Amino acid sequence: MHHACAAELRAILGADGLVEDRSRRTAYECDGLAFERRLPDLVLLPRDTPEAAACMRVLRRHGVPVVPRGAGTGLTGGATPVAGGVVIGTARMRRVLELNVTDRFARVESGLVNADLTRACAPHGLFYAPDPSSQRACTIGGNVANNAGGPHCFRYGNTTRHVLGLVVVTHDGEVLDLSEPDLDPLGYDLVGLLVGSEGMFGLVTEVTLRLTPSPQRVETLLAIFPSLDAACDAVSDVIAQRLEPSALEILDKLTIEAVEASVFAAGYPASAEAVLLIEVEGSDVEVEVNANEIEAILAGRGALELRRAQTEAERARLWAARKGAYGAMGRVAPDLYVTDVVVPRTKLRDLVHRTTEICRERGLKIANVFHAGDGNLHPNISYDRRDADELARVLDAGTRIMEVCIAAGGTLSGEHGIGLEKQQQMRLYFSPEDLAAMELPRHVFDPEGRMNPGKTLPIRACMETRTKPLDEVTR
Amino acid sequence: MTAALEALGEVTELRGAVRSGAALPLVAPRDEDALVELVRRARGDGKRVLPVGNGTSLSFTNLATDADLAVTTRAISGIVAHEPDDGTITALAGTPLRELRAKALAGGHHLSPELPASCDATLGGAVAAGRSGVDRLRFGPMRNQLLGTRALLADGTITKSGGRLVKNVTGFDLHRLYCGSHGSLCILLEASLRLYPAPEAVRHLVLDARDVREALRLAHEVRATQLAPWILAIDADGPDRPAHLHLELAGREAVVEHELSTLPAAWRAAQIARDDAAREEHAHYADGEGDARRAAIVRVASRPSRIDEVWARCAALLGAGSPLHFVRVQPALAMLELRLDPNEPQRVADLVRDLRSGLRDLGSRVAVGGDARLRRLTNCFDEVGPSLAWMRALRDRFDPHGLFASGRGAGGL
Ligand SMILES: Cc1cc2nc3c(=O)[nH]c(=O)nc-3n(C[C@H](O)[C@H](O)[C@H](O)COP(=O)(O)OP(=O)(O)OC[C@H]3O[C@@H](n4cnc5c(N)ncnc54)[C@H](O)[C@@H]3O)c2cc1C
Repeated sequence: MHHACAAELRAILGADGLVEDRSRRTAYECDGLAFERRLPDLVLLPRDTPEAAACMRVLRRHGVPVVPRGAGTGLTGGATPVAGGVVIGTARMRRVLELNVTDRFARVESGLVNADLTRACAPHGLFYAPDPSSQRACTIGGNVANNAGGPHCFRYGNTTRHVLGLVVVTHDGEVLDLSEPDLDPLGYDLVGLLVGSEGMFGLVTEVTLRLTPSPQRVETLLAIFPSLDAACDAVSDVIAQRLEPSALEILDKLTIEAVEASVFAAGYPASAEAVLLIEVEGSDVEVEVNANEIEAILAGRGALELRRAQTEAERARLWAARKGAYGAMGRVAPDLYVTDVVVPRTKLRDLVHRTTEICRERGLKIANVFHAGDGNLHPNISYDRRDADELARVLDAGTRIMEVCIAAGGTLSGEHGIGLEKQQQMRLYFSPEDLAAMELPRHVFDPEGRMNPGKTLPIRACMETRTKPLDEVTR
Repeated sequence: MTAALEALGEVTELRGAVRSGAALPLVAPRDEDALVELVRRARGDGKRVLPVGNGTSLSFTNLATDADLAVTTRAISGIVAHEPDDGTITALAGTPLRELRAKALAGGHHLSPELPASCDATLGGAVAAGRSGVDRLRFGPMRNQLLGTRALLADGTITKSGGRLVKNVTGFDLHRLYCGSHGSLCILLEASLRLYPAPEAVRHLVLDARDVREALRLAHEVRATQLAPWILAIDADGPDRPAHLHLELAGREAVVEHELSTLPAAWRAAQIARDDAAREEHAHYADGEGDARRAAIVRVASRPSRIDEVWARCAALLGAGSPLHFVRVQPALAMLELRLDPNEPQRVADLVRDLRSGLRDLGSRVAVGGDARLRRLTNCFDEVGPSLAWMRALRDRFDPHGLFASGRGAGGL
């Protein structure tokens, strides 16, 4: 990084707003996709929108690539600075700027941790619905960039349904203020386009979010199944019966074992081949009506046992275990490759089966913990990234899983985004014309190709910044 | 030229769509290939194309700056995929929304947006116009239902965005950009929507109130409960006229019956229609008590906390002898619709001007729809502000040679 540029940035942010020290910068060299890393030249930690905008103007003048970063919990390499340049972190932008209880929205800074928003509005009988399993760490800005989901997005929808407005610092340092929570966009729906743009259309600094009234009653059911197939069929039945629980999550045997051996142990029976975690909410009558009908379906699909959480503490434990599942997988192997594909909900059983086979054929350990209600599979492959051969098999399995799911009418990602991980596989799902159309807004928002370069859209020939596709990294 | 157009599909005439007042040839290409060919020729001949569905939303957009011909997708119609057990439906752009609704219902689903039964909107038109329905309170706006699209771009390529599944974050959400772009970025060919379980039971309640103000107070009480109604709306013929507060609950039989029992005490005086009778009331409500299609319509959007003040100021601006013949207020959405005499376009335009200045400090948006006379006198939308530059840049990128007629949307897009 040029000295003059660093000096200008230091003048804006002060010494503690810059991470220059090499060892501290290593914390920013990757996200949850641990096998692709690159050290950023510098890390910037602005305190607010004006500071961020001032930095962006300097970076533009010096032609420096910019990678926005929230908490770095992304699983696709989205926040990894593959082309070098500067990482702008939002860790010092964590304020709730406005909590409007009557109109049910909040304006927050993008570095706010997801769970902190619900904590802030809970006393007012409101909550923020999208609840990624990483919600105690991930930021609202990262959620917006990836259009994050979570267990309760089955009922409430992914992040995009909850974003009412944004403030974005564009590539040239302009502050684009779209924060007003209008009922409908005036002109084009820029907010809708910006959500899910994976940090490539600008740095999101503030977000206006819809808040949802907390349900009167919530009931958590746990069904224990003798096979993963039966659990999948039960989910397909619940959907086909037009029932409306708020979450439908499956954990398979390996996941249960890992969870039960960890600090998240919640009493999931170790003998089960799969469990289905279901949440039902609403008025007392609504909960009872729904829960009873769902229980009948579960029994019909051969559930060995049905439980209802008896206390709030028990409910919280069941969810903590579900949300801690990835962490618990650390016991199985040092690294975890979390794939994220979506399949038609009518084909759950077959595709879960097929993805499991794909891993077994390659001698890999697979655990399934996923948002079954949305058909959003997460075949999680445990591996050791120091073992080059194993890593190659993992990547091969990942690609094969995507191919199989797309061939069955599925799609590449339900919530984690594309990032580096699935960049090349975008060609499986989109035609060259589709991809060319996606370049159009990209050129508008990032004409110089400096915003999170080398992500999402597949690399064409050698024009772009990444030198090697992922599966060559290991060779 | 007409003979060449007729080879591609039926040719009729579209009036009241461009500023010059000229009637445009309206071509209905018989299939996608014919549409692509038509657009290719128009591009080659330097002609400007105005895309429409069935024209039901035209009166809510400005007159286009200029166009040489209009193209409707109404002949490109049909359901491509209906997956009842996955809760999704995909259809070609010209498919009447009414047909889709019936198909969805046969599969046990409700399709949103629910437009009045008498509305001939096509799927493509409803998406391009970003139209929301009478079920918006429960299901949100059109953009929330849209899972993906196929679209024809100005350069002649057909491109996909999103997909057919209920959850999908693959690629940028171009379909969100197209939704509400009024045909200025692309011609929509196909769209996929998510479906919702159709309600087993419906209760439509009407509570009489002295006037809109009193009805607002009663409505706020409902909003403060845990209920998630399908409809919560106030209808009246004028500011000082008696008002009717509509409340619709729908869902499982036992659940709605229970919900009825939890309503605030004032609702004991309400008339309650159940199931078939409720569906009839619902259809009546959806079609509107005043004739929405012939009226000049002014829509004001605000925030729920400001709706009382917005209404008070509207009422004051309307004054005595105003051309208002019907008002509908949706307090939970903070939306207010005034239906006015279409034969008084100047008075309506003056009212719009006064509302825009009189409600500015409340951050309200004022939109207007009506016939060409009115739309010549007023802008259908508020001013966009600084983000307009980004919208223009997008339009120029998607359509660098200005193939698609502009000027209809906000900011002259
Ligand atoms: C244990 C675990 C469980 C998870 N569970 C889920 C889950 O249930 N559902 C789900 O959707 N995801 C899940 N994830 C993935 C991840 O947490 C989400 O993608 C999350 O949204 C990322 O947020 P972050 O703040 O960590 O963003 P980062 O990882 O820092 O960044 C993610 C992307 O967003 C961009 N970005 C970040 N901040 C901004 C900003 N302010 N402006 C513009 N771009 C920005 C980055 O450039 C990058 O492309 C999980 C991850 C882990 C580790």
